[in-house]
Amino acid sequence: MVSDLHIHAVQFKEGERVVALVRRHWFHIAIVAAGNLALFLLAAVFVAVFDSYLFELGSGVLKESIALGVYALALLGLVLWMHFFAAWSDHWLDAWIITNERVIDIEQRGFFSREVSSFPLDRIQDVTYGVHGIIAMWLNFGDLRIQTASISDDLIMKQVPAPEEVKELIVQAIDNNR
Amino acid sequence: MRRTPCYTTYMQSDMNLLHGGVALDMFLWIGFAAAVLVFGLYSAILLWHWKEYSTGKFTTVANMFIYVGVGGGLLALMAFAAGVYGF
Repeated sequence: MVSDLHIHAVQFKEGERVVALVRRHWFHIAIVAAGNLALFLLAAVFVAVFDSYLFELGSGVLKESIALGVYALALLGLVLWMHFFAAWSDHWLDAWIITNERVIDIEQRGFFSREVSSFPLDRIQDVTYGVHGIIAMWLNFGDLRIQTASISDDLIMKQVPAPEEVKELIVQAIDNNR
Repeated sequence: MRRTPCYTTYMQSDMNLLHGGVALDMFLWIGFAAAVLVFGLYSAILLWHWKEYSTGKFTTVANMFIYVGVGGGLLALMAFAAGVYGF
């Protein structure tokens, strides 16, 4: 599971071993892709309808209208493509790394804001998860909450794929760490 | 005889005005140059992030080529459309 990782984002301690690397479920990024695609198709239909009206009228500026439409669609496509890749990058740069010593939470917010938090295994008190909604049930993802014995907030891993397995991995890592 | 709805007449006259009025093709090329600049800067930042903060196999050369290739293709389409408009 972790043999082919190239983790540059975190400095590991001496003797620290990665047990698992977890990311949000692909459903999150699929929603962004579907939204972008729907917006693009809507714009394409609008341009096609507009040009078909001009064609019906025998307009003398049909060629220019089509060129303008293609230009606008390409520009919109470019903006949506950039937005999708920003979302995809965010999806891939955010991660939870479970090691034999701690759980690391990497949170990338936009391009210039990044937060990396560590939760030592010996301070974890409880691990719970919840799967809510029909899609989450069907695709098997849910939220996992790690409660620690510190005053800082709990770690909440949102939309984790196979949350039961991830919980077991963490519990096992805690047991091995004792 | 079929009557032309007034809104389509407006559409046609607006398009005629647009085409015959300001040098729109110049604005299209300015827009294209701006898009190239923004896409270039954005891509540089994005690819730097992939290199710096990679947490997996996502940052492969193939993915970078897909991103830049499709983006470049859309820019080429913009240039083509601007060229057709001005021709």
